[in-house]
Amino acid sequence: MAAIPVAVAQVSRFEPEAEFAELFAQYRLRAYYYALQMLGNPDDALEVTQEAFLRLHRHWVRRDRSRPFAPWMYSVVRNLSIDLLRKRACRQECELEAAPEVAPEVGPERESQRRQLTERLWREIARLPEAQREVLLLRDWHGLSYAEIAEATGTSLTTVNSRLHDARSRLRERLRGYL
Amino acid sequence: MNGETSHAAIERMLSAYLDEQLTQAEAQRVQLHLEECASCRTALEQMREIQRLTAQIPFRRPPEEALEALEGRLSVRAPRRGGWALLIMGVAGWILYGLIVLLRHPRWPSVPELIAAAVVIGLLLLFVSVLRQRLLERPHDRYRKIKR
Repeated sequence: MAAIPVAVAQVSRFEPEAEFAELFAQYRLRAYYYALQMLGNPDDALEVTQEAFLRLHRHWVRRDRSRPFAPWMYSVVRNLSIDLLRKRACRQECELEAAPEVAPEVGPERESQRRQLTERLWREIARLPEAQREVLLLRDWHGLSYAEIAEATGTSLTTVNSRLHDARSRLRERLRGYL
Repeated sequence: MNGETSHAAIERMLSAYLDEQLTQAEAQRVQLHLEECASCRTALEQMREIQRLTAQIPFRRPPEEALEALEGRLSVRAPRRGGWALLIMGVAGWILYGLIVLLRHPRWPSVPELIAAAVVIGLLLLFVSVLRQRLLERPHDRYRKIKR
């Protein structure tokens, strides 16, 4: 996933609705994918995304402007997803996107291998302990910095560092024959 | 620090090294160790590959209609919540003001004041009625999870 765009500085702070609409357009897919990764169900992910942006909007004008938007948004999505997981009492595994068109220079066989490896990797990520999985995805898929992950998950930088290390080590062990 | 302890300590730093989270001195220590430790070089390469592959996991994109519907629901529901909040605060303020005026200067209210009181009491009754209906229907509402 591409790096998170810088906050919408161009939109005037005197146009809160326009600024919020701009951030909604930029971040709605990130919020959706994060909820999907946590919940595994597209309908639940859409529900959480909607509720998250409603909550963000409710506190928009009185928010702490010194706080960056991304960790705040991720923490709201995370808390709502955890609440929903408690109600559901189980987590599903989401399906990945169907295989993309094969690029001619890659070749169907290589593409198929790459596809298998990606699916295997996702299965192994899904098996990680919750705390490790979320830190890994926030870092390697969503591209958040350590500080942003710490703020979004309510942990310290040391914890983020240690969970990332544990997650990557565990994946390395489990994918030993594939890497 | 003996070789084995140093190897274990460096191995625990590889993840942070990959993300460029180490201090300059720590990064230099890791680099020196990597030059002579094939096992740590392999571990680092595998972590880098895991990071690259993770970034490319293709999660299924939601249908465009679902995203548009999301935007539509937000634009409808966000002002509605604000509207309810303003209405409640306005009615509460009006009642409070009326009570203060009445207590400080007890007299028979004028016609405009009576009209204002009728509007406030009417809004209050409507609000209580809607709230009561929602609360009564909630346990039996099969469609309460459907987003409006």
